[in-house]
Amino acid sequence: MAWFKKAFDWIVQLSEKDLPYRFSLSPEAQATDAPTTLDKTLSKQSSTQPQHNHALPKDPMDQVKYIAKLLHHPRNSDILIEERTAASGQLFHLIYSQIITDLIGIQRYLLEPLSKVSTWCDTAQELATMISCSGIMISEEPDVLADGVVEGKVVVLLGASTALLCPFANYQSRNVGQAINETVVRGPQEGFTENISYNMSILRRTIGCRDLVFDSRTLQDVAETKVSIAFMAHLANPRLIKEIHRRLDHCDHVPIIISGIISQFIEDHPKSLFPTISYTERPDVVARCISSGQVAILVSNQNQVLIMPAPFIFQLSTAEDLYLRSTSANFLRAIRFIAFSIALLAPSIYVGLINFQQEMIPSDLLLAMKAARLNIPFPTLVEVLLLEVSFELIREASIRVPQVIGSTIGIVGALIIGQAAVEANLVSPIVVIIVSVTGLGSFAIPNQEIAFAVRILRFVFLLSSSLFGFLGIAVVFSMTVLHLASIYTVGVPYLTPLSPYRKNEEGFLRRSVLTYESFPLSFRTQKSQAGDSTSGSANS
Amino acid sequence: MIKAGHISGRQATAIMTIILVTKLMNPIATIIIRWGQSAADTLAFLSGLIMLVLVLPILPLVKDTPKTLFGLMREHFGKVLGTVFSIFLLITLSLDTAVVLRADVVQVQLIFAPQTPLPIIESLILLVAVYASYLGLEAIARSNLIAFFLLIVLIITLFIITQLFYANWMNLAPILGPGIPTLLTQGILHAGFYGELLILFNLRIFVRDYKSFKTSVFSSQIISVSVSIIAFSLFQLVFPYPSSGHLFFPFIELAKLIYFGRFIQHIEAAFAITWLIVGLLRITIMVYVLSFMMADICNTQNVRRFIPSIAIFIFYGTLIPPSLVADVDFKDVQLMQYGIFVYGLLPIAIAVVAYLRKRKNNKKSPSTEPQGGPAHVGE
Repeated sequence: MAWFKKAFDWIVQLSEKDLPYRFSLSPEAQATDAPTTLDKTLSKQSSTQPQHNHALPKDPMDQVKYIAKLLHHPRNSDILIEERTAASGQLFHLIYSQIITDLIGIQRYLLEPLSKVSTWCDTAQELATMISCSGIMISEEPDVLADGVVEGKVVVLLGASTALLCPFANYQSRNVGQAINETVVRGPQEGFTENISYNMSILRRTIGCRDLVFDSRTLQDVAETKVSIAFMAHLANPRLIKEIHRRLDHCDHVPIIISGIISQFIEDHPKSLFPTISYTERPDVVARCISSGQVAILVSNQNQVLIMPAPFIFQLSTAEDLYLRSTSANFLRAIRFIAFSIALLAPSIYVGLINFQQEMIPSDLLLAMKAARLNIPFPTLVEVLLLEVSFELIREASIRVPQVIGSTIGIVGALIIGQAAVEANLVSPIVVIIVSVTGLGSFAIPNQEIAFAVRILRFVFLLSSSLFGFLGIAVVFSMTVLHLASIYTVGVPYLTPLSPYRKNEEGFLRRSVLTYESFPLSFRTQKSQAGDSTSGSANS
Repeated sequence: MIKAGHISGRQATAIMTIILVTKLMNPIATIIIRWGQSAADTLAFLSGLIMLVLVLPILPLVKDTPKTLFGLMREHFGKVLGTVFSIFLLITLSLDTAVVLRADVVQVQLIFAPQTPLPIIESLILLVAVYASYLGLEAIARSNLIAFFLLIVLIITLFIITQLFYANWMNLAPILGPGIPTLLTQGILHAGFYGELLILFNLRIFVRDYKSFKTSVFSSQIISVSVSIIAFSLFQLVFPYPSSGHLFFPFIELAKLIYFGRFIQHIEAAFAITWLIVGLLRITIMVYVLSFMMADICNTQNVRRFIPSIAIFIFYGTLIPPSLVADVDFKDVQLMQYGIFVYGLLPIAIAVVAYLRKRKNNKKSPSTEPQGGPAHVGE
């Protein structure tokens, strides 16, 4: 193999000196490759000739060299070029990536049949009939052939004006796993992976309906990120689909890899603290959303699927809500609401009480609190801020450190906060309790992005409360509600179905499944606009 | 025509209810107690009914062509007289907003921040109002719908708790208070307690359809009057007249009574914070509506440019009354008792002129426009 590689290198070097190319490279290839003599020639030609519109060279070796050049072979170590001779004596060249293809399949279904070809093939079409391989494509475009190799296809060059593309893609991806960030007690345990095809297939399996559409496209970023818009054709609002496409158009041509940040490109209010697009790693949640008229966006290399429209109340629900009886689900939702309120307001209410509304604290408790604060040199605000910042530090540290010592960080943090700080008279015990409960409350918020918003707002509430007491809390609270009332999620008011009020939709409390008779009006689904209430769907 | 979004009938109802009901929770409510005595609830009912009767004649005028109240006045009184009346209404409403804000601010200062100067509290409240007005009517209306439910829960909770422990049905007597003639007279003079109902006619163009608008006019007035009747009755059950006549903060006094054992006591601030959130939204609506009215008078589309100036105007207006007593007296005498003869009769005048013009056009139409419909009377 080594001698073949050396020989091929020598041929390529030779070709860079005097080979009369009559076609151009793609701009990407030019940009990423070192500026050689060949590049200069090619770039000179590319400025005068239209790109991506050139047939393969006539000479078989030229074909191989050109495709190899496009794929940066031999620097690109995973690209393999093989030469095979058929029974008829015809020479074939196979180009493929050995890390993303099924090598056994290539051997069994491509190389073995090729070696047995006993007739001379003048065209790729003739050859295609002799290979027992499905999904064969024929192309004459060098760029298409090179892209095919990157996509896991095997290019078969036979010296004709066209070449074969045989799909043998076998990308490495992790096995089907649990939804790590959205665990449930009841309900399916599987989660999405980074493989978009797998994610699509699992959705297809979950929703056995022919109206499920995967509207796929490739973005124009460097990574050529693939996205697939999943929706029910008979349900989803066509204007919503059109709008999503329009937004995806706008995030095309971004010179960075965007698979992780696509939601920030397409959401309504990227500068708002609150997320207007939800995400999940659970196929059952996506299936549920799609079947109630929402739209999901699957992104390659992302194990989280974006869901829109995603109103505020929707984002506070969990995957498990629908699997529980409505009473139990509502109990959990009430707990979550309390957790949300505590996470947002507890420290500021404490500061407001201590500094402004002391008469509201029962006398005994007030005396105890005052006694505890006697030796503390800081004002209440500093005391709370000190602990809050420490808590944030511990939280951040425990995420960043390796899992093995993660628990140690927790213990150290608890010791620092719970014991050392109190003993050093830096904070009073009641503040430790307040901050701990606040932390627990923020952990109980199901959506991480909303939890982030709450964490930031908590400091705003804290500062306003220290300045103006409950008045400050009321002012910031009003402004927050006004802000939430003013934003949209893909054109749907963020606070719906609370305001605008939709009495037939599920709001804060989960309804009994027996009442799921109509499609949500807020999402303007085709069914809800037509007033069809015969076929029900759950809107969680 | 200025138009920046739509609001539903339910949202319009919430807006009006909040505007009318929040006054019950600040010192402005003492006006009704003062004149109605032990029959403050009856006086509230009469005032509400009279105000509804006063505005009803202009309801059909906004059926086919959604117009603002100012638009109607310009259409039927002519541009000059219509604008004069519009400016009068704008000034009256601005003063009313300033007076109510002063009452709110004093109450806020009393409960939350006794050492904070009034202008700072006012600035904070107006800051929220300006921010919200910049967000637009749709955001305000949605927030109001949430605040409306909050308000209803607050009122129900407060009254249930206080009535359970402190109500004395003997306090209701005498049921007719100062007597029927006095109640009727004061009912007319204090119809301005619900005078903000006219604001809803300025929001007509934002409401989706006439049916929703009509429903919101009736439902907001019915809810507001009902809540007033219940609130004054229950207040009377706990604080009998003349004790109630000496209380400047009836809502707070009621909330102060609530305690559960030794650990939950003095929770008036907890109730007051809910009222404050609703009260903030009330000021927000008023600032937006005033800016909108100003833009309407200036015949411009941009409401936003008037928001800061209106806020500053209200800020200074709020500082004018030397005391809370003077503030409440101004509201009672100048804005309610005198003002009702102008803004209370305006809708009737519009309706009369509209009727006369329609009649005149109908007479003219066979001879002047044999093949067409009635002449269009427009701006």
